[in-house]
Amino acid sequence: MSKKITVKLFASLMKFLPVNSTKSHGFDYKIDETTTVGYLIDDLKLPRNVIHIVLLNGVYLDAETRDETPLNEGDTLGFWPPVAGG
Amino acid sequence: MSWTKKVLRINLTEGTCTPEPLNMEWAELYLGQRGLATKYLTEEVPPTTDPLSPENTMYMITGPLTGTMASTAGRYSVVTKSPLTGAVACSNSGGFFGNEMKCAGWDMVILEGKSPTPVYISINDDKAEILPADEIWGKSVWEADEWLHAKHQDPQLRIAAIGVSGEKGVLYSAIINDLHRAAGRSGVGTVMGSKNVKAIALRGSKGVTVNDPKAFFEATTAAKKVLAENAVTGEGLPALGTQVLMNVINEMGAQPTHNYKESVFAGASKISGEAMLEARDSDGKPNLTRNAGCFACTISCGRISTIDPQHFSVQNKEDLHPSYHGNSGGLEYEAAWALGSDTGVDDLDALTYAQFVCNEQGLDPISLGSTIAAAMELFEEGVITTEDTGGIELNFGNAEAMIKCTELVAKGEGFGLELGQGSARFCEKHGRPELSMTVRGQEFPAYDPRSIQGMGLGYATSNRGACHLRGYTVASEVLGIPIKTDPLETEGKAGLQIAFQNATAAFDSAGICIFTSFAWSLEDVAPQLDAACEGEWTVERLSEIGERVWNLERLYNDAAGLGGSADKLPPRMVSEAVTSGPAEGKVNGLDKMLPEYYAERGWSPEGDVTAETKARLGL
Ligand code: SF4
Repeated sequence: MSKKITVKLFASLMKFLPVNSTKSHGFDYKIDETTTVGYLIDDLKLPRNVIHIVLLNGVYLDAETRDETPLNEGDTLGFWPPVAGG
Repeated sequence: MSWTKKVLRINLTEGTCTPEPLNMEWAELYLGQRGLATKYLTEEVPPTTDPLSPENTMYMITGPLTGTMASTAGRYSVVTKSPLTGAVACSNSGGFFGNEMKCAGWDMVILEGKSPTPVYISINDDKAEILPADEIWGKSVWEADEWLHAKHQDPQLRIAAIGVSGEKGVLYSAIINDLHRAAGRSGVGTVMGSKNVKAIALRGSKGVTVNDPKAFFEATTAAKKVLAENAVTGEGLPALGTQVLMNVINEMGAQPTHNYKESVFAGASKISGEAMLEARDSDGKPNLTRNAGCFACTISCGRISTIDPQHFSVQNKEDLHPSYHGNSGGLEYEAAWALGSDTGVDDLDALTYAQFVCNEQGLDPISLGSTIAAAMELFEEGVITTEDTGGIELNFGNAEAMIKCTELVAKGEGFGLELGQGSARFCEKHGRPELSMTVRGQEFPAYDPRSIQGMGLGYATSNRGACHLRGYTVASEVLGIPIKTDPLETEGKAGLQIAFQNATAAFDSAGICIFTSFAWSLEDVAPQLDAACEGEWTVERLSEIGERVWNLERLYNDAAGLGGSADKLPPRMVSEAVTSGPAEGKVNGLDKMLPEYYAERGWSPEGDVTAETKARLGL
């Protein structure tokens, strides 16, 4: 059974958004039962050397463990390069 | 070197401009800018002084690196006793004013006393004059800027001025230099207005000398390389500016919304840095025109933007300054959250307009937005009505109301004068002091301290009242700089805050921008100072200076009655849990962090600087 999640790409990662994605810098994405964050990063061809902050439903995923993190129906996954401001 | 070792003391009561030597003994201990001017303040202005009386003094001061080729070396600070908080005020600004002061041969310009009539200060190298400003009193910063350039027939003149709000006693008025760079917080513009000073116009032709030019060239080149190769300072800040934070802070559930009732704002992405790049329907242009940099800056985080010509804020308003119909400075994140998510307004053009007004009339957009948000909550609770607001329907999300309030505060008119007293006084007056999101009377910045625990400790202990620029642990807790810590955890945050606070005080005393600290540590700053200045400037010495400056500020506040007893957060932050998002159910654990903070600072359990700590730091 497939699941639907929302993927959001921010700052310089916006250039990896599919054409026509308008949903708050993001898009809906269908995944299958076993998809992990690591699998999704590669599937979307996101540049691993640029990704710095990954938030799953707003919670930070550690670089060491995020690849194995499973995804569930309705999840929101956000990606950022290194950013700061103030 | 690289101090000019000269101070210009202007006594407005007497009408005199007197040069004097910089106190180099103090410079050895406090470096420059924030630290050194605070030392002058503590020696010259008793902590109990009425901030708006002639007895208060205002120090405009550069750092030793200001005016040099070090990256971001255009900074100056304004130090005084704050009328908003009663505590020490230190507001830092970029642009081109600081380096011009240094090039004119002055480390610091001191304004003391009070002029009997409106004046401006003209400084052209050694020549300093107090001149009449009757023609620009009552005018905006931008109008004053034009008038001064025309009068002196000098396009290179660098000007810092106050707007009408500062003349009228709005307590969070800013000093604006170079049209849209602000010494923004704590009402330093109000103090300038209370002295009847409209502007300072500077022209310097002397240049700045450094102690060891070859070593300095090498050190600054190496440090610039660090900035260029860092993803934040080399790429992120130039592309999206401070507004890059809007989405990340919102997604992680720390976006102050509706006067801090909520921490997730549905409209955040519409007012974010990313949204500023999107083409709008009316003319196909994006809000953002280009980025902009201060003197010698190799980061260039500044924003130059336009308002949609069809937006209600500018449409059919012929009397607006032409900049509203063209390009001007903004939108920055701190203005965007305070005037935006905190008031519930998700209209990018309305926010850009409000930021332009803040620049034109010299206002701190954080205190302004936060005070409007508090007033909105009081309005929605029925504590105030349209009778109080002069007919404004002050509901959350009402962009027209936010703009109307901004315009009224900017001009110090009607309901605007009441809002201009800040949220602490406003909420107190209406019998609901607990709805003011302030510490020491200064409004919170953009991070919910229930979702980012270390920032709660930072706000509570910040010497100039709630502030993000005193100890930006967001860098670590959210952004992973230099290392990632858990934002919901209180453990270890005391040490983290202290490290950030001390290092920031050292950066702020050097003449460089704090944004360099996303890539630089004191290891990068020390060689630049060591080459620029006489004597030995090591990382250890700078760390000690940072700690000394922090403690000196604290001692001043203690004596003003704003020490340990003021290290508090509003009840909402410590007893009302976050209602949604990743931090749901959390309150700030200040009670856990504060005792540890006091102990690690070497203070008493009541938060007093102990005799041993004073002796250790030579205070
Ligand atoms: S980083 Fe931004 S605020 Fe700092 S000096 Fe550069 S342009 Fe100015």
